[in-house]
Amino acid sequence: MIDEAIYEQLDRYFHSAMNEQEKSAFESKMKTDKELREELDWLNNMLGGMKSRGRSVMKQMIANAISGIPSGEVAKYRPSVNGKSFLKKYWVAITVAVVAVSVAIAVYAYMTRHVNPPHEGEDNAMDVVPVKDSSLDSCMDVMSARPSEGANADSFTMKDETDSNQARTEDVIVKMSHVTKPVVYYGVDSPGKTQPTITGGYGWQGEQQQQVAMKTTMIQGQPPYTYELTDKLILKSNYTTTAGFVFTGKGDTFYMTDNSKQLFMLLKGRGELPLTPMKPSMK
Amino acid sequence: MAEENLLASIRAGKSESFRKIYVEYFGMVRYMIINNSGTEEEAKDIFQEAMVVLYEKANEGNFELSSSLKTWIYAVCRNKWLKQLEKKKKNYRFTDFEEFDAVEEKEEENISVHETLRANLNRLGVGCRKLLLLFYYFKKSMEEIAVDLNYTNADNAKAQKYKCIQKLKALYATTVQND
Repeated sequence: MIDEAIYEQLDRYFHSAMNEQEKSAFESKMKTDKELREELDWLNNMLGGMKSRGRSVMKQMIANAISGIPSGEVAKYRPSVNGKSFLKKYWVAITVAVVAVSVAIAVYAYMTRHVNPPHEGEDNAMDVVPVKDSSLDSCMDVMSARPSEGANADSFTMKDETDSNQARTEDVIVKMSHVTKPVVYYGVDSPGKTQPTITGGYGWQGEQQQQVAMKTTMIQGQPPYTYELTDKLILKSNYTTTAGFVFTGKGDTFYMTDNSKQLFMLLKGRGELPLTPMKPSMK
Repeated sequence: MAEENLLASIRAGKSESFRKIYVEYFGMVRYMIINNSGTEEEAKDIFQEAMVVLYEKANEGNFELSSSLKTWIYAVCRNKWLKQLEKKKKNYRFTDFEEFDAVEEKEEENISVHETLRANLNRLGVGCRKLLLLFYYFKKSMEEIAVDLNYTNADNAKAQKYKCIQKLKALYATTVQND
Protein backbone atom coordinates (compact mmCIF):
# COMPACT_ATOMS: atom_id res chain seq x y z
CA MET A 1 0.00 0.00 0.00
CA ILE A 2 1.23 3.44 -0.90
CA ASP A 3 1.84 5.40 2.27
CA GLU A 4 1.22 9.05 3.00
CA ALA A 5 4.81 10.06 2.33
CA ILE A 6 4.70 8.58 -1.15
CA TYR A 7 1.40 10.35 -1.77
CA GLU A 8 3.02 13.60 -0.90
CA GLN A 9 5.63 12.85 -3.55
CA LEU A 10 2.93 11.99 -6.07
CA ASP A 11 1.18 15.27 -5.36
CA ARG A 12 4.41 17.21 -5.79
CA TYR A 13 5.07 15.34 -9.02
CA PHE A 14 1.63 16.20 -10.39
CA HIS A 15 1.87 19.80 -9.29
CA SER A 16 5.30 20.14 -10.95
CA ALA A 17 6.74 21.07 -7.58
CA MET A 18 9.82 18.81 -7.87
CA ASN A 19 13.22 20.05 -8.95
CA GLU A 20 14.94 18.23 -11.83
CA GLN A 21 16.96 15.95 -9.53
CA GLU A 22 13.93 14.90 -7.50
CA LYS A 23 11.88 14.41 -10.63
CA SER A 24 14.51 12.24 -12.27
CA ALA A 25 14.89 10.07 -9.14
CA PHE A 26 11.11 9.72 -8.81
CA GLU A 27 10.70 8.70 -12.45
CA SER A 28 13.51 6.13 -12.13
CA LYS A 29 11.77 4.67 -9.12
CA MET A 30 8.50 4.54 -11.02
CA LYS A 31 10.08 2.40 -13.75
CA THR A 32 10.88 -0.38 -11.29
CA ASP A 33 8.01 0.02 -8.82
CA LYS A 34 4.86 -1.43 -10.35
CA GLU A 35 2.69 -0.49 -7.37
CA LEU A 36 3.81 3.11 -7.58
CA ARG A 37 3.11 3.17 -11.31
CA GLU A 38 -0.41 1.83 -10.79
CA GLU A 39 -1.01 4.36 -8.05
CA LEU A 40 0.13 7.12 -10.35
CA ASP A 41 -2.28 5.94 -13.04
CA TRP A 42 -5.11 5.86 -10.58
CA LEU A 43 -4.27 9.29 -9.24
CA ASN A 44 -4.14 10.59 -12.78
CA ASN A 45 -7.66 9.34 -13.40
CA MET A 46 -8.79 10.70 -10.08
CA LEU A 47 -7.53 14.12 -11.12
CA GLY A 48 -9.62 13.84 -14.27
CA GLY A 49 -12.71 13.13 -12.19
CA MET A 50 -11.76 15.92 -9.84
CA LYS A 51 -11.44 18.29 -12.76
CA SER A 52 -14.84 17.34 -14.07
CA ARG A 53 -16.41 17.90 -10.66
CA GLY A 54 -14.39 21.07 -10.10
CA ARG A 55 -15.59 22.55 -13.37
CA SER A 56 -19.20 22.08 -12.38
CA VAL A 57 -18.54 23.79 -9.07
CA MET A 58 -16.64 26.61 -10.74
CA LYS A 59 -19.33 27.11 -13.35
CA GLN A 60 -21.95 27.36 -10.63
CA MET A 61 -19.81 29.87 -8.76
CA ILE A 62 -19.51 32.00 -11.90
CA ALA A 63 -23.25 31.71 -12.55
CA ASN A 64 -23.90 32.90 -9.00
CA ALA A 65 -21.43 35.77 -9.41
CA ILE A 66 -23.10 37.13 -12.53
CA SER A 67 -26.69 36.22 -11.75
CA GLY A 68 -27.54 39.52 -10.12
CA ILE A 69 -26.30 41.70 -12.96
CA PRO A 70 -29.19 43.34 -14.83
CA SER A 71 -29.05 42.88 -18.61
CA GLY A 72 -29.03 46.66 -19.01
CA GLU A 73 -25.59 46.81 -17.43
CA VAL A 74 -24.07 44.58 -20.07
CA ALA A 75 -22.10 46.73 -22.49
CA LYS A 76 -23.79 47.19 -25.84
CA TYR A 77 -22.01 45.31 -28.55
CA ARG A 78 -21.21 46.37 -32.08
CA PRO A 79 -19.58 43.76 -34.29
CA SER A 80 -16.03 44.55 -35.42
CA VAL A 81 -16.64 42.54 -38.55
CA ASN A 82 -20.11 42.86 -39.93
CA GLY A 83 -21.21 39.30 -40.41
CA LYS A 84 -18.19 37.48 -41.69
CA SER A 85 -19.70 34.50 -43.41
CA PHE A 86 -17.85 33.67 -46.60
CA LEU A 87 -20.09 35.78 -48.82
CA LYS A 88 -20.25 38.66 -46.40
CA LYS A 89 -16.55 38.55 -45.71
CA TYR A 90 -15.49 38.49 -49.31
CA TRP A 91 -18.36 40.33 -50.97
CA VAL A 92 -16.14 43.16 -52.16
CA ALA A 93 -13.62 40.78 -53.70
CA ILE A 94 -16.38 38.67 -55.23
CA THR A 95 -18.10 41.75 -56.70
CA VAL A 96 -14.84 43.04 -58.15
CA ALA A 97 -14.07 39.62 -59.63
CA VAL A 98 -17.53 39.33 -61.19
CA VAL A 99 -17.31 42.82 -62.68
CA ALA A 100 -13.80 42.16 -64.01
CA VAL A 101 -14.85 38.88 -65.62
CA SER A 102 -17.95 40.52 -67.10
CA VAL A 103 -15.90 43.34 -68.57
CA ALA A 104 -13.38 40.86 -69.97
CA ILE A 105 -16.19 38.84 -71.58
CA ALA A 106 -17.80 42.00 -72.98
CA VAL A 107 -14.51 43.21 -74.43
CA TYR A 108 -13.79 39.81 -75.89
CA ALA A 109 -17.26 39.63 -77.40
CA TYR A 110 -16.88 43.13 -78.84
CA MET A 111 -13.48 42.34 -80.31
CA THR A 112 -14.59 39.09 -81.88
CA ARG A 113 -17.67 40.72 -83.41
CA HIS A 114 -16.15 43.97 -84.57
CA VAL A 115 -12.55 43.32 -85.31
CA ASN A 116 -11.24 40.39 -87.27
CA PRO A 117 -8.36 38.82 -85.48
CA PRO A 118 -5.31 37.69 -87.40
CA HIS A 119 -6.41 35.16 -89.94
CA GLU A 120 -4.41 32.33 -88.59
CA GLY A 121 -6.06 30.47 -85.82
CA GLU A 122 -9.58 31.83 -85.51
CA ASP A 123 -11.08 29.62 -82.86
CA ASN A 124 -8.40 27.11 -83.78
CA ALA A 125 -10.86 25.94 -86.37
CA MET A 126 -8.66 26.57 -89.31
CA ASP A 127 -5.40 27.94 -90.47
CA VAL A 128 -4.96 30.04 -93.53
CA VAL A 129 -2.10 29.24 -95.81
CA PRO A 130 -1.50 31.52 -98.79
CA VAL A 131 -0.83 29.89 -102.10
CA LYS A 132 2.72 29.75 -103.31
CA ASP A 133 2.00 31.99 -106.28
CA SER A 134 2.53 35.27 -104.46
CA SER A 135 1.99 37.38 -107.58
CA LEU A 136 -1.68 36.74 -107.28
CA ASP A 137 -1.83 38.23 -103.81
CA SER A 138 -1.12 41.83 -104.66
CA CYS A 139 -4.38 43.03 -106.12
CA MET A 140 -6.68 42.56 -103.26
CA ASP A 141 -6.11 42.37 -99.58
CA VAL A 142 -8.66 41.34 -97.15
CA MET A 143 -9.77 43.93 -94.70
CA SER A 144 -11.23 43.35 -91.35
CA ALA A 145 -14.86 44.14 -91.62
CA ARG A 146 -18.26 43.35 -90.35
CA PRO A 147 -21.18 42.28 -92.44
CA SER A 148 -24.59 43.55 -91.60
CA GLU A 149 -25.45 40.36 -89.81
CA GLY A 150 -22.57 40.89 -87.50
CA ALA A 151 -20.53 37.79 -88.04
CA ASN A 152 -16.85 37.65 -88.81
CA ALA A 153 -16.20 38.55 -92.40
CA ASP A 154 -13.74 39.42 -95.05
CA SER A 155 -14.74 41.83 -97.73
CA PHE A 156 -13.86 43.18 -101.11
CA THR A 157 -15.38 45.60 -103.58
CA MET A 158 -15.79 45.02 -107.28
CA LYS A 159 -14.01 47.89 -108.95
CA ASP A 160 -14.84 47.58 -112.62
CA GLU A 161 -17.45 45.30 -113.99
CA THR A 162 -16.22 45.82 -117.54
CA ASP A 163 -12.82 44.36 -116.79
CA SER A 164 -14.29 41.38 -115.30
CA ASN A 165 -17.37 40.47 -113.51
CA GLN A 166 -15.73 37.72 -111.75
CA ALA A 167 -13.74 37.56 -108.61
CA ARG A 168 -12.11 34.34 -107.83
CA THR A 169 -10.86 33.32 -104.46
CA GLU A 170 -9.24 30.14 -105.49
CA ASP A 171 -5.84 31.56 -104.67
CA VAL A 172 -6.33 30.98 -101.04
CA ILE A 173 -5.87 27.75 -99.25
CA VAL A 174 -8.15 27.51 -96.35
CA LYS A 175 -7.48 24.83 -93.87
CA MET A 176 -10.61 23.97 -92.03
CA SER A 177 -10.91 21.66 -89.11
CA HIS A 178 -13.87 20.50 -87.13
CA VAL A 179 -16.23 22.48 -89.29
CA THR A 180 -19.67 21.21 -88.57
CA LYS A 181 -21.93 23.63 -90.34
CA PRO A 182 -20.16 25.63 -93.00
CA VAL A 183 -22.91 27.90 -94.16
CA VAL A 184 -21.27 30.82 -95.89
CA TYR A 185 -22.86 34.22 -96.16
CA TYR A 186 -22.19 36.46 -99.07
CA GLY A 187 -23.72 39.84 -98.63
CA VAL A 188 -23.57 43.10 -100.54
CA ASP A 189 -23.58 46.54 -98.96
CA SER A 190 -26.36 47.75 -101.28
CA PRO A 191 -29.26 45.43 -100.67
CA GLY A 192 -31.15 44.58 -103.81
CA LYS A 193 -28.54 46.10 -106.10
CA THR A 194 -26.67 43.04 -106.98
CA GLN A 195 -27.22 39.45 -106.32
CA PRO A 196 -23.87 37.73 -106.11
CA THR A 197 -23.50 34.37 -107.64
CA ILE A 198 -21.26 31.57 -106.70
CA THR A 199 -20.49 29.11 -109.36
CA GLY A 200 -18.81 26.64 -107.12
CA GLY A 201 -15.34 25.68 -106.17
CA TYR A 202 -12.91 22.92 -105.70
CA GLY A 203 -10.41 21.78 -103.14
CA TRP A 204 -8.23 19.11 -101.74
CA GLN A 205 -8.59 16.93 -98.81
CA GLY A 206 -5.73 16.60 -96.38
CA GLU A 207 -2.23 15.61 -97.28
CA GLN A 208 -3.32 13.35 -100.09
CA GLN A 209 -4.36 16.40 -102.08
CA GLN A 210 -7.31 14.60 -103.43
CA GLN A 211 -9.26 17.01 -105.53
CA VAL A 212 -12.91 17.22 -104.75
CA ALA A 213 -15.76 19.20 -106.14
CA MET A 214 -17.25 21.78 -103.88
CA LYS A 215 -20.83 22.65 -104.49
CA THR A 216 -22.73 25.59 -103.22
CA THR A 217 -26.42 26.05 -102.83
CA MET A 218 -28.18 29.32 -102.29
CA ILE A 219 -30.28 29.07 -99.18
CA GLN A 220 -31.30 32.71 -98.97
CA GLY A 221 -32.02 34.87 -102.00
CA GLN A 222 -32.21 38.19 -100.14
CA PRO A 223 -29.37 40.15 -98.56
CA PRO A 224 -27.43 38.87 -96.92
CA TYR A 225 -27.28 36.24 -99.60
CA THR A 226 -26.49 32.94 -98.12
CA TYR A 227 -24.90 29.95 -99.69
CA GLU A 228 -24.20 26.65 -98.14
CA LEU A 229 -21.20 24.57 -99.00
CA THR A 230 -22.92 21.31 -99.58
CA ASP A 231 -20.04 19.04 -100.29
CA LYS A 232 -19.99 16.53 -97.50
CA LEU A 233 -16.21 16.41 -97.43
CA ILE A 234 -16.06 19.87 -96.05
CA LEU A 235 -17.48 18.53 -92.85
CA LYS A 236 -14.46 16.41 -92.18
CA SER A 237 -11.86 17.55 -89.76
CA ASN A 238 -8.44 18.79 -90.85
CA TYR A 239 -9.83 19.45 -94.25
CA THR A 240 -7.75 21.58 -96.51
CA THR A 241 -9.35 23.23 -99.46
CA THR A 242 -9.06 26.08 -101.86
CA ALA A 243 -12.22 27.87 -102.69
CA GLY A 244 -12.94 29.05 -106.21
CA PHE A 245 -15.93 31.30 -106.06
CA VAL A 246 -17.27 33.77 -108.60
CA PHE A 247 -18.88 37.08 -107.69
CA THR A 248 -20.55 39.75 -109.82
CA GLY A 249 -21.60 43.34 -109.23
CA LYS A 250 -19.53 46.49 -109.94
CA GLY A 251 -19.01 48.75 -106.94
CA ASP A 252 -20.51 46.31 -104.55
CA THR A 253 -18.71 45.27 -101.43
CA PHE A 254 -19.01 41.62 -100.74
CA TYR A 255 -18.73 40.08 -97.37
CA MET A 256 -17.76 36.56 -96.82
CA THR A 257 -18.35 34.94 -93.53
CA ASP A 258 -20.07 32.08 -91.87
CA ASN A 259 -22.82 31.69 -89.39
CA SER A 260 -21.20 29.23 -87.09
CA LYS A 261 -18.01 31.21 -86.62
CA GLN A 262 -16.15 28.00 -87.11
CA LEU A 263 -15.37 28.72 -90.69
CA PHE A 264 -13.34 31.76 -91.49
CA MET A 265 -12.27 32.47 -95.03
CA LEU A 266 -9.54 34.70 -96.20
CA LEU A 267 -10.05 36.14 -99.61
CA LYS A 268 -7.24 37.24 -101.77
CA GLY A 269 -7.96 38.35 -105.26
CA ARG A 270 -6.03 37.48 -108.34
CA GLY A 271 -3.70 40.06 -109.75
CA GLU A 272 -5.54 40.48 -113.00
CA LEU A 273 -8.93 40.91 -111.41
CA PRO A 274 -10.36 44.40 -110.94
CA LEU A 275 -10.84 44.13 -107.25
CA THR A 276 -9.98 46.99 -104.92
CA PRO A 277 -9.31 46.51 -101.24
CA MET A 278 -11.83 48.34 -99.21
CA LYS A 279 -12.85 48.57 -95.65
CA PRO A 280 -16.60 48.80 -95.65
CA SER A 281 -18.42 51.02 -93.25
CA MET A 282 -19.47 49.40 -90.04
CA LYS A 283 -23.17 48.97 -89.97
CA MET B 1 -1.76 46.15 -17.67
CA ALA B 2 -5.46 46.28 -16.87
CA GLU B 3 -5.92 42.84 -18.40
CA GLU B 4 -2.98 41.46 -16.40
CA ASN B 5 -4.61 42.69 -13.23
CA LEU B 6 -7.87 41.18 -14.31
CA LEU B 7 -6.17 37.84 -14.98
CA ALA B 8 -4.56 37.93 -11.55
CA SER B 9 -7.97 38.52 -10.05
CA ILE B 10 -9.40 35.62 -12.05
CA ARG B 11 -6.54 33.40 -10.92
CA ALA B 12 -7.60 34.09 -7.36
CA GLY B 13 -11.19 33.21 -8.31
CA LYS B 14 -12.61 36.56 -7.27
CA SER B 15 -16.27 37.02 -8.17
CA GLU B 16 -15.71 40.64 -9.03
CA SER B 17 -13.41 39.72 -11.92
CA PHE B 18 -16.05 37.44 -13.48
CA ARG B 19 -18.69 40.15 -13.12
CA LYS B 20 -16.42 42.65 -14.81
CA ILE B 21 -15.78 40.34 -17.75
CA TYR B 22 -19.46 39.53 -18.00
CA VAL B 23 -20.45 43.19 -18.18
CA GLU B 24 -17.76 43.87 -20.72
CA TYR B 25 -17.99 40.89 -23.06
CA PHE B 26 -21.23 38.99 -22.60
CA GLY B 27 -22.93 41.23 -25.16
CA MET B 28 -20.46 40.06 -27.77
CA VAL B 29 -20.93 36.37 -26.95
CA ARG B 30 -24.71 36.74 -26.89
CA TYR B 31 -24.69 38.50 -30.27
CA MET B 32 -22.51 35.80 -31.82
CA ILE B 33 -24.60 32.91 -30.48
CA ILE B 34 -28.04 34.41 -31.12
CA ASN B 35 -26.98 35.23 -34.67
CA ASN B 36 -25.83 31.64 -35.10
CA SER B 37 -29.03 29.79 -34.20
CA GLY B 38 -28.66 30.05 -30.41
CA THR B 39 -30.60 31.52 -27.50
CA GLU B 40 -29.80 33.87 -24.62
CA GLU B 41 -29.68 30.94 -22.20
CA GLU B 42 -27.30 29.01 -24.42
CA ALA B 43 -25.16 32.13 -24.66
CA LYS B 44 -24.97 32.35 -20.85
CA ASP B 45 -24.06 28.70 -20.58
CA ILE B 46 -21.30 29.00 -23.16
CA PHE B 47 -20.01 32.17 -21.53
CA GLN B 48 -19.81 30.50 -18.12
CA GLU B 49 -17.94 27.54 -19.59
CA ALA B 50 -15.49 29.92 -21.22
CA MET B 51 -14.93 31.60 -17.85
CA VAL B 52 -14.14 28.22 -16.34
CA VAL B 53 -11.54 27.65 -19.06
CA LEU B 54 -10.13 31.11 -18.38
CA TYR B 55 -9.89 30.33 -14.67
CA GLU B 56 -8.07 27.06 -15.35
CA LYS B 57 -5.72 28.66 -17.87
CA ALA B 58 -4.94 31.53 -15.52
CA ASN B 59 -3.94 28.99 -12.87
CA GLU B 60 -1.70 26.98 -15.18
CA GLY B 61 1.00 29.58 -14.66
CA ASN B 62 2.24 29.74 -18.26
CA PHE B 63 -0.88 31.30 -19.74
CA GLU B 64 -0.30 34.37 -21.88
CA LEU B 65 -2.81 36.16 -24.04
CA SER B 66 -1.50 36.33 -27.60
CA SER B 67 -4.11 38.98 -28.37
CA SER B 68 -6.70 40.77 -26.29
CA LEU B 69 -8.89 39.13 -23.68
CA LYS B 70 -11.89 40.03 -25.83
CA THR B 71 -10.46 38.13 -28.81
CA TRP B 72 -9.60 35.16 -26.62
CA ILE B 73 -13.09 35.00 -25.11
CA TYR B 74 -14.64 35.25 -28.56
CA ALA B 75 -12.48 32.40 -29.89
CA VAL B 76 -13.18 30.08 -26.94
CA CYS B 77 -16.94 30.75 -27.00
CA ARG B 78 -16.94 30.29 -30.76
CA ASN B 79 -15.23 26.89 -30.46
CA LYS B 80 -17.64 25.75 -27.80
CA TRP B 81 -20.68 26.93 -29.72
CA LEU B 82 -19.44 25.30 -32.92
CA LYS B 83 -19.14 21.98 -31.08
CA GLN B 84 -22.72 22.32 -29.87
CA LEU B 85 -23.93 23.24 -33.34
CA GLU B 86 -22.19 20.17 -34.73
CA LYS B 87 -24.07 18.01 -32.26
CA LYS B 88 -27.37 19.70 -33.12
CA LYS B 89 -27.26 20.08 -36.87
CA LYS B 90 -25.55 18.57 -39.82
CA ASN B 91 -25.45 21.68 -41.95
CA TYR B 92 -25.11 25.22 -40.80
CA ARG B 93 -23.42 28.39 -41.90
CA PHE B 94 -21.46 30.09 -39.16
CA THR B 95 -21.22 33.86 -39.18
CA ASP B 96 -18.39 35.64 -37.44
CA PHE B 97 -18.43 39.13 -36.00
CA GLU B 98 -14.88 39.45 -34.72
CA GLU B 99 -11.39 38.72 -35.88
CA PHE B 100 -9.89 36.03 -33.69
CA ASP B 101 -6.87 33.77 -33.22
CA ALA B 102 -7.25 30.02 -33.08
CA VAL B 103 -7.48 28.70 -29.53
CA GLU B 104 -6.66 25.07 -28.94
CA GLU B 105 -8.59 23.04 -26.41
CA LYS B 106 -7.37 19.68 -25.24
CA GLU B 107 -9.79 16.85 -25.79
CA GLU B 108 -10.46 15.00 -22.56
CA GLU B 109 -9.39 11.37 -22.41
CA ASN B 110 -10.79 8.53 -20.30
CA ILE B 111 -14.03 10.41 -19.94
CA SER B 112 -15.95 7.35 -18.70
CA VAL B 113 -13.39 6.70 -15.94
CA HIS B 114 -13.53 10.35 -14.96
CA GLU B 115 -17.29 10.27 -14.78
CA THR B 116 -17.19 7.16 -12.56
CA LEU B 117 -14.74 8.87 -10.27
CA ARG B 118 -16.83 11.97 -10.25
CA ALA B 119 -19.83 9.93 -9.17
CA ASN B 120 -17.76 8.35 -6.40
CA LEU B 121 -16.60 11.77 -5.35
CA ASN B 122 -20.21 12.72 -4.82
CA ARG B 123 -20.59 9.73 -2.51
CA LEU B 124 -17.80 10.95 -0.27
CA GLY B 125 -18.69 13.11 2.68
CA VAL B 126 -18.92 16.84 2.11
CA GLY B 127 -15.72 17.46 4.09
CA CYS B 128 -13.67 15.02 2.03
CA ARG B 129 -15.11 16.29 -1.22
CA LYS B 130 -14.33 19.90 -0.39
CA LEU B 131 -10.84 19.04 0.77
CA LEU B 132 -9.94 17.13 -2.36
CA LEU B 133 -11.45 19.75 -4.67
CA LEU B 134 -9.69 22.59 -2.93
CA PHE B 135 -6.38 20.81 -3.19
CA TYR B 136 -6.58 19.22 -6.63
CA TYR B 137 -8.82 21.57 -8.64
CA PHE B 138 -8.56 24.92 -6.90
CA LYS B 139 -4.85 24.35 -6.18
CA LYS B 140 -5.06 25.62 -2.61
CA SER B 141 -2.18 24.98 -0.25
CA MET B 142 -2.65 22.80 2.82
CA GLU B 143 -2.32 25.90 4.97
CA GLU B 144 -5.17 27.62 3.14
CA ILE B 145 -7.29 24.48 3.28
CA ALA B 146 -6.69 24.13 7.00
CA VAL B 147 -8.01 27.65 7.51
CA ASP B 148 -10.97 27.24 5.13
CA LEU B 149 -12.08 23.88 6.55
CA ASN B 150 -11.22 24.57 10.20
CA TYR B 151 -8.46 22.02 10.66
CA THR B 152 -6.08 22.74 13.49
CA ASN B 153 -3.10 22.85 11.15
CA ALA B 154 -1.81 21.93 7.67
CA ASP B 155 -0.50 18.55 8.80
CA ASN B 156 -3.93 17.55 10.05
CA ALA B 157 -5.40 18.62 6.74
CA LYS B 158 -2.74 16.60 4.91
CA ALA B 159 -3.49 13.49 6.97
CA GLN B 160 -7.18 13.94 6.32
CA LYS B 161 -6.56 14.28 2.60
CA TYR B 162 -4.73 10.95 2.57
CA LYS B 163 -7.67 9.28 4.31
CA CYS B 164 -10.10 10.82 1.82
CA ILE B 165 -8.09 9.51 -1.11
CA GLN B 166 -8.04 6.01 0.33
CA LYS B 167 -11.80 6.23 0.88
CA LEU B 168 -12.36 7.38 -2.69
CA LYS B 169 -10.10 4.64 -4.00
CA ALA B 170 -12.09 2.02 -2.09
CA LEU B 171 -15.37 3.40 -3.45
CA TYR B 172 -13.98 3.31 -6.98
CA ALA B 173 -12.72 -0.25 -6.60
CA THR B 174 -16.16 -1.36 -5.41
CA THR B 175 -17.84 0.35 -8.34
CA VAL B 176 -15.48 -1.23 -10.86
CA GLN B 177 -15.97 -4.68 -9.28
CA ASN B 178 -19.78 -4.31 -9.39
CA ASP B 179 -19.64 -3.28 -13.03
